[in-house]
Order: sequence, then structure tokens, then C-alpha cells
Amino acid sequence: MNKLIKILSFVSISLLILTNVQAQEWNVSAEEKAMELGVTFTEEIQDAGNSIYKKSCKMCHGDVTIAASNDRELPLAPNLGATDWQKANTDGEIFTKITSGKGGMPPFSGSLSDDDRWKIVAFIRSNYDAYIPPNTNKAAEAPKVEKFAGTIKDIETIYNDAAQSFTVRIIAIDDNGHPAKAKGVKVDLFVKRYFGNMALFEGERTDENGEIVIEAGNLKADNEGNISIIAQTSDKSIISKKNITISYAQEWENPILGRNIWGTSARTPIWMLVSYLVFTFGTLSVLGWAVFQLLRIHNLRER
Amino acid sequence: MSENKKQSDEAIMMKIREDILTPMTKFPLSYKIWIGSLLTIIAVAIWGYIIQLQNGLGETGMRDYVSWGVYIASFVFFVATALVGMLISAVVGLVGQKWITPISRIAEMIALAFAMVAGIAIVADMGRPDRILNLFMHGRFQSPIIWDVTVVNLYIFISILLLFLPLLPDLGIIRNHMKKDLPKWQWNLYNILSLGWVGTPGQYKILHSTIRVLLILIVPVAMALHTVTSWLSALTLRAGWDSTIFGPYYVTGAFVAGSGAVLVAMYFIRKAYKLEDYITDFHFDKMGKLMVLVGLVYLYFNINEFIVPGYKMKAADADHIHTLFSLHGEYGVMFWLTQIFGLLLPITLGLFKPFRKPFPMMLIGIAIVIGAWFKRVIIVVPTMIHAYLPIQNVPEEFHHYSPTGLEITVTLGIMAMGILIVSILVKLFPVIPMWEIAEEKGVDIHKDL
Repeated sequence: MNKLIKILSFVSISLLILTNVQAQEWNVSAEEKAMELGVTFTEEIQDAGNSIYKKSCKMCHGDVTIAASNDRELPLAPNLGATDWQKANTDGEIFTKITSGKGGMPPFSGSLSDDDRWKIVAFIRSNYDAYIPPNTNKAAEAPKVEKFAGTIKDIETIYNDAAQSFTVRIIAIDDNGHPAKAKGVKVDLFVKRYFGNMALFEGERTDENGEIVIEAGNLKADNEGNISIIAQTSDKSIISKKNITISYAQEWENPILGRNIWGTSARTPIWMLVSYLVFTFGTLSVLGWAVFQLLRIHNLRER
Repeated sequence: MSENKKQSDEAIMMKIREDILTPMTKFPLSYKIWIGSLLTIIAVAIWGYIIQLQNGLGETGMRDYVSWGVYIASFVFFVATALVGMLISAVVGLVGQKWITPISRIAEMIALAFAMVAGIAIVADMGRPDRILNLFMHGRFQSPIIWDVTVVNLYIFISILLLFLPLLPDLGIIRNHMKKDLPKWQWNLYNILSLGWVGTPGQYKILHSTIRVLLILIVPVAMALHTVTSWLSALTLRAGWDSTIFGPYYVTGAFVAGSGAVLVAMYFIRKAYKLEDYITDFHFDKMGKLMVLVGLVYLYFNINEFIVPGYKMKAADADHIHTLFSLHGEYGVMFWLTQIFGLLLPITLGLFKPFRKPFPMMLIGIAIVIGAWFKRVIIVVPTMIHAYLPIQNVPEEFHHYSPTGLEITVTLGIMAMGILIVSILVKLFPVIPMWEIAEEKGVDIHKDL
């Protein structure tokens, strides 16, 4: 009986979700479908779209990874890097879907500007090799981001203790095998934390020296001042992990060290220890007194 | 003192001794069968426990989520029932109620026996009882488990003293009059235990003042005992336990369970020992009224405990309460049977005089005691399967709890142990305080009776 109810409720809930999320069709008019990309399709714009994507879309859609078709199932939102989906949707269609939402997906018309939403479209399209930007688009005229032509060998992170800053440097060679300064390579820098990595920056491009310098004051370290950092190229082709030690004093209060309820027995809060001892030994002393009274009764046996 | 008075005193004492001490020297077949069956249950339980020791707690129905099963429920039940010693002797006695005299010792015996087996129930629940010393060596004063261990032992200690002290004059009587009727070792035992009681006014003075101090002391200790037992649950963040009234809820529940146990014990001891002159219908009537009173207080706490979260239906609470309230819920039937037969019906019937006669009172007492045990299961177990974090990707058996046969056997064995201790105590010591009865009948007790 119980099982039957469980099965029935599971089926009905599943049906509810399906009818709401799946069966409801996207409502995109022909006009909207025909809209062309509202921003120039440059790397700069794509990067901007990426950072908006991270804030507004990633919590459901996750990372955009290139795949033949959607590789995720409900309750996960679809992978927008699915080639068949990219092929089936026009720019205007994607834009409209972001604008008005459907079922579990909220409409973004109120929270993101038109420009921001187009930037997201540009970012999504950057994961589709067969994409051809619209002719009217001024992509050709836009300053093209110079791509580094050599080979990236490694990535190194130097911590400058005095300035409390990180220098992330790309080590690369040019076509002739000579050391080269890798300009314009996208790099991420993370600090390792208990429940994930804290980004100091993501997707930043290296300068003409092949470096990125970032100030990072008052980073929290462990008791010995150690911090684990991860530097990587944004395409994750090169990842370097490293432990650094900071020298500035840590304002770090170890919650285990105080006299707290969650502490060890040796660190019992005083009030608690006193209450316990007073109660226990108070009772025991009365009981001891009572036993002593028995002795007195015994001593009175001779009249 | 006139010669007449002396003679009538001696006649009254003769009658009291005859009535109360004679059953102690007789071992009828029914008593032997009773003790034999208790010992058999205990023996089977020990055998079951050895299997559990060898193979581990996997032999029980407890799994990762439900790690407290019928053992801990029984522990709470024993502690609850043990509280009756404090209710009868201290609370009712200290407010000047004289009618409790003949049943106060029965209450104390139940209290002592059940407080002692409560600890055994805890050990039965341990997977590694050999590590029990770690509790004392590395226990944290911040943990209610340490408070519980401390206060259970203090309560046992007080219960022993409160049983022993009022026994002194009776032991003196046995020593003086029973030398011929008892085996030598037994008489020697009473001789030593009587501590040379001769009933001088000095001895009585010390006795009265000491008992009074202990009766006052046992009130806070007993309250602490059951409040701390409730805190074992209430100090955790769990649906069904996270309650501010858990302390009084437990204490009042304990009074109900204890009254039930005393009603049952009164009936059978009176019948077996033919004590109709001492434990009269009047006493059952009074005990019935007391049961109704504590039952109403407990009912009040029950209403609070279930209506308040039931009205709000917070997510995990809602799950929990649904399993209890709905007859389709896993614990629905048990919950309503317990509430109706263990509480509502006893209160309602107890309001009417015909039901406060010995036999119906005994039946009601049994219903209360059984209900009290199941109520502890309802308090302990369902909460464990309504965790705040979802229980997922675990074997199906982790989602439910049903005790295995072995677990039930061991539990029955522990109960039998408690009942056995009571049965031996009532055979070993006079169940009615003879000197107090004599005093009520106007006998001058300030002498070697």
C-alpha cells in the first residue's frame, strides 16, 4: 500500500515536471527568429558574455562544453555547447529564449540589458565552430585580439610578499625555439579553499610581458601561513599548482582553542565545569553525610 | 505505660509480623515458576547477547540512520519508570499524604530495580562494550551523555539509601523474631544489615532527619535524571526532538509510566502475599486519582509537543508528524494506539470510581506500562529516519527500522531482569514498612519491637 502510494506520487510528480518543463514549447515568432546578433562577434565581447554567463546562467547550465548533442538530463539544464542545438537555433531565437524564459528557466528581460543578453549569445556562439557571424556585423572592422603564436610551455606564479601581490607569467617559446613573451593568453588564478576554489581572476589576458600582476592583500592562510594556489591557462591545457607562504601576521582565531561547548574535555567552559562539579559533589556529599548517619545509628545500639 | 497498653501493642505487632513476614519464609510453586520463567527469559537473552557480541550490532535491526532502536527506547522507559520512587515517596510524601505508607516501599523497589537495568540497556546498545571505560576516561563535560551517566548513578545511590534507611527498624524486628524461621545465612544478613537497630529515640531522630534530607535531595536529582535523559535527544537539531519542553515532557511522562507500574505491582504483591488488610481498595482509589492527575499533566505536554510543530509543519517536522498522525504513516497505528490506550483511556476511565477498584486498576496499569514502552519507541525511532539532509543512495533497509528477533529477545531479557530484581527484593525484605504501620496504629515504636 505504502509502496503503491510512493510509486503513484512519483509518477504524478514526474508527469507534472514533464508537462511544465518539457511539453511546453518555446514561443518564438518568425520576426524574433530572424534577428541578427546585436553585438560584434569579437573575442572581447565573447569574454564579456562569458563573465555574464558565469553569474547568470552557469548555476543551472553549468560549463559550456562542446558535444554532439545535449549530454545532461533534468534537473540539470541542457548543455548549451551541444552542436545540434546550436545548429537548430538562430541568434534571434537564443536571444528570445534568454529574454522570455520558459518553465524552469526565468526570463532575463528585467535583470539583463539587451546588450548583455546579446553578449551571452556571442559567448554561446563562440563554442560553435561552424558559426558564421552575420554579414552586416562589423566584426572585420573591430580590432582583432592578437593571439599568441608560439608554444606555451609552462605557467609560473610568483608571490611578492612585500607588495602582497601575485605575478602570473607564461613561459613560452616562439617558432624558432627561443623564449618568448606570450601576450594575450587567457589565464585563471585560484586560491584553494575547503569547498572549492576561490578565483582571484578568471579569463584575464596576459600583457606584453606575458604576465598578469594582481594585488591580493590579506589572503587568509592556514596556521603556518600556507596558501595553495592554482594557476592555469583558461583552456586548461597547462595547470600549475603551488604552495606559497605569506609572512604577514595572521589574524586567525582557532575556534578549537577556546573554552567552548564544542571543545575537548580539557577545554570545558568554566561555568559548565563548575555547574557539573557543584551538582555532582554537592549530591555526593549529602549522600556521604547520609551514610555517616548510618554509622551514628549503629553506634547508638548500646543503650 | 500501662500493662494493658503494652499487651495491646504486642498483639498488634504480632498480627503485623504474622501478616507481613510470613510470606517471606514461604516459597510456593507459583513463585518458583515465576522466578524460573524470568530466569529462562534472561538465559535466552544472554545467549542472544553473546551472538550480538560476536557478530556485532548488524544482528540488530539498527543501521546507519536508525542507530537508536528498542534498546535505547527501553533505556528511556526504565529511567522513566524508575522516577516513581521520587514521585511516591518524595513528592506525595513530603506534601503530607499519609496513604502512601504501605506502597512507598514497593515504589522504591521498582525505582531501584529499573534504574539499575537502565544502565544494562545502554550497554546492550553498544557495539563495543569493552570500550565503556573510555567514556569515563575521555568523556567530555559538555556532553549530556556524561551528565546522564553521572546522574543515573547518583539516583541509584539515593534509591538504595531511601530503600535501606526505612528498612532499618523492620530489619531489627526480623532479627528479633525470625531467628527460628530463617536459614542461618539469611538471619545473619538481616542481623548485619539492621546495624544494631534497637529503636531508641536517638536512633529514630537520626533516621527521620536523614530520610527527610534524602527525600528532599531526590527531587532535584530525579528531575535532573530525566531532564538529562530528554536532553540526550533535545540537545540535537532533529525533527521531533528539537523541542524546548522535552524535559518536563519526559518527567511528566515518567510519572504516568511509574504510576502504571506501581498499580500493577501493588495488585500482584497484594494478591500473592494476601495483604488485603494493608493495601486496601482505598489505596487503589488514591493511586488511581494520582494516575489521573499526572496523566492530565502529561496529556497537556503531549498536546504542546505535537500541536505546535503540527500547526507549523516545517519541512522535516512535517514528514515526521505525518508518519505519526496519519494512519497510513509508518508509525500512525502505533502512535494512536499508544495515545489512546496508554493515556486517554486510562485518564477517562480513572475519573470513574468503579474503575478505581483493584482489578480494573491493574488492567489499566498494564495498558499504561505497555503504552509507555511504545511511546518511548515513538519518541526515539521515527526521528532518526527523518533527517534534515536527504537520505539517498543507501540500501533500502536503511530507510526503515524493525527490531530483529534477537534484539527483542535481549530487550525482553533486560525487562525480565528488572522484574526479577523486584521479585527478589519483595521476597527478601518486607514489602510493607511494618514500623510505620505500627506507628499509625498507635503502637509505641520507640523501643526494641
